[in-house]
Amino acid sequence: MGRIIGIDLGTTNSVAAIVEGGKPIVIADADGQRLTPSVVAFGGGTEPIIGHNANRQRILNPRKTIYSVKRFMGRRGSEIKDEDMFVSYPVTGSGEEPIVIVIDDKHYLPEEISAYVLKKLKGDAERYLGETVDRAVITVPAYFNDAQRNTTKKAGEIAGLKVERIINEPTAASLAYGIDKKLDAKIGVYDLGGGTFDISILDIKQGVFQVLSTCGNTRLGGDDIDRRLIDFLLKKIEACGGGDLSGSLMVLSRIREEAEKAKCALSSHDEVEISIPFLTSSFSLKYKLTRKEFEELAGDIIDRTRKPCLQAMMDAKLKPDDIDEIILVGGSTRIPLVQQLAGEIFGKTPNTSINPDEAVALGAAIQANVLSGHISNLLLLDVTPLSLGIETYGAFMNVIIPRNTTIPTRAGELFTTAVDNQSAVTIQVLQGERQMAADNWSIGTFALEDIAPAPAGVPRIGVQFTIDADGILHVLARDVNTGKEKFVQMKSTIDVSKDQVEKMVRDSMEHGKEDAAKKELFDAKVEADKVLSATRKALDKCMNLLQQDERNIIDKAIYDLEEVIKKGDTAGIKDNTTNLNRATERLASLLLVETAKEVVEKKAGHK
Amino acid sequence: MVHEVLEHDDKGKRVKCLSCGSPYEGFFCFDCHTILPISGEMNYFSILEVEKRPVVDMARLKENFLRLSEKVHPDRYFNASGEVQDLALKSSSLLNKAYSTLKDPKERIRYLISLENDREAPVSKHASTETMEFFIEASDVCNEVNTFVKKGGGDESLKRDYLRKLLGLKNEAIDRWKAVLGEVERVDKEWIGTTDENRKPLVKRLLVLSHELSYLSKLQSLIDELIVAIS
Repeated sequence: MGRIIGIDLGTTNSVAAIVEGGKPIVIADADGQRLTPSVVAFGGGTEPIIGHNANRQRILNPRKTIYSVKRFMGRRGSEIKDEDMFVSYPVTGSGEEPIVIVIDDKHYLPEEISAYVLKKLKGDAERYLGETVDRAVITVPAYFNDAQRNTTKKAGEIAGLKVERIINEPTAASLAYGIDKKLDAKIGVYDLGGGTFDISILDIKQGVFQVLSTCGNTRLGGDDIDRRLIDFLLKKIEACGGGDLSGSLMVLSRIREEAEKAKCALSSHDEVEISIPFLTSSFSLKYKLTRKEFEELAGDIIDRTRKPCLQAMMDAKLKPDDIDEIILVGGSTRIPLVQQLAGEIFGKTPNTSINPDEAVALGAAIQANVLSGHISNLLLLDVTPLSLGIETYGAFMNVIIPRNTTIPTRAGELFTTAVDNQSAVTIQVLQGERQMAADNWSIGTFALEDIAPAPAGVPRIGVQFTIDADGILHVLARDVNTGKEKFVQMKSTIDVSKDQVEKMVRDSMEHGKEDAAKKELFDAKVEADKVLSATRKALDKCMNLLQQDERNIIDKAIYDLEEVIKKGDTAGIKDNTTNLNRATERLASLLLVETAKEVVEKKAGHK
Repeated sequence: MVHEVLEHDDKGKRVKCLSCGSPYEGFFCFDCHTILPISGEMNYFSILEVEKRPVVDMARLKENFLRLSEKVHPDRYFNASGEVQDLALKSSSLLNKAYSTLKDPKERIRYLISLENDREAPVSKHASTETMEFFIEASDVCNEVNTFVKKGGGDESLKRDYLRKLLGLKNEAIDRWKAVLGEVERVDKEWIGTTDENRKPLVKRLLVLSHELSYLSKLQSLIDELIVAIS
């Protein structure tokens, strides 16, 4: 079997590494470049251009140059905000659909774009090693959910790599940091990259790197700071008589490039001169940006890393004083204000001794060597970042595996039927920390089928949830009465075939945006009707158990929802449906009690 | 215990190692370094090689957990057969569950009670009146803060005031938690000198203490959540 390489598949840059002679090293490409921009450009030939060369044509060919695609990995249309869609290449996808990138009438899923980057790294590694490379450890943000991890795995497969392990970026960085040191310490890894933020707290002892807690935000990074800076420059341009240039992709790409450069320069300089000649035939931009001004612009974005850090410390049951070192990883931690904030939160000067761009890939290479058995005095014990649960009656989430549980982990749950002779039960699997099911990620559904006919409540089906060392969920069901066991295929909401994607995009092209809007309205109405009718049924049964003011709130929510349905206001329907759902939380639990009472009475009657 | 339904099947009789023939208990043969199906009457205490009693030596617990993890973690059997890999996944999951249960006093005591009663610890709603009163008082403050946070925060002096209150409550919750643990230690002392048959009254005392811990831990996570939200 061939060697396993480590890959950091980043939002902005990707890096490959391998352990040679006991030391992890970065694999440079043919031109000696160590970082490969995660950029894929289509045009000219049949095969796209990847990396530095692709980055170069970003300005000339913004519509066909794809960057920051990691933000779309494993995401559904409904999860992406409009501002996130604001990239220079066309993306579509709404509601339950995956995000699709459209280039020259061809449709690409985010994992296909990532696969191009992986293929390039694979090629570079093969050239360097002089042998075929078909196995890799790939890193993901610690806060990635099940769907995002699965999608990353798929990207590897498309690129012809067997993904031997998915590991978390901050944990990988901690391996790179701690490998040579005989550490007995608690460390925090603060990882702010191009598109994601992670904080992980680890306890390192006797070569075991045990993650105590992790938290983060998969939509927070240097990209957001760039965007803020671009908006600022656009306003300046308009104020200086350059007009509104926000509509021109080419101009935007040029501003974007300069904004990014200015941001980087301000990490080592107090001020920088931004100069972009001939943005239009009559306007050139010259602006002196100070670090202070930059910090005012980016301050609130950087401050958004604070809460995850506090949360991670709470979850690890540690105070800043208990943490020995805070290690900075990710390109954005070069920003002085970021270093200052990390220092303030953890009450100590952050450690900047590791290369923030390369540490993650080096750690992945170390883990690859652990797996192949070449390193035996080191072990990684990671955790699952998000609570895993299922939707229960009343649209609540019932947690089965809490966040920060050490993986691998298994937990069992018993299910039964709700009506006589029910032959199948469908279960919705969720990830997240919110109480209401709808506020969490739905990572898929699975069906327990072929249940032998029996009265309600009699069948007993044990379901075992396993989260493996990749942080990926597997479900096994067993009929407790018959002992029959089977693996249950979870139907991931974003797991769609290429054909389905083609059809989906074709449909949306043919019917245009209007129809997408119509469909959304239709779906919203169907959902609203469901909730309204459930509420009415519940009111019939439990009206007398409600307080007058509760009743008033529910009545008002019903009235409001009916009004927006009449108006056909999609966003209004969605909002008011959520409102009604909230207003009826207690009603739902009352109904549950009432129904239970009835069942008991009925059973007593039968006796 | 619902979560254990599928794990009970793992219990077996003490047997000989499939690889070298030495008798073993647990899931690892230390004679020939082979991972094996779980044998013997194992519980979380015996898995982690600590005494089955209300208080455990935390340093030893952690050391054993790390040492055993080294042996059974799936990373160590990466190139082994599918069957062995599956064993590693099972053993490692069980070990993780055992450790997370025993390191948390609340979970540990609940688990111990369930072993003594040979079933799941009954979930009763009653702690001491004093703890209940503190719980209610603190919950009121938490509700108030929650409303404040939901409205968007804003008022800085009110925010500081709330944060101070929350931190005060947190400290009090921790003090109360420690006091309950002191009580657990007293039960533990008596536990050592008591035979299995005569432990019923001790188990009963533990049950009340486990409710106290349960309320206090719930309150602490509620307070923590609000501290993060308001910070």
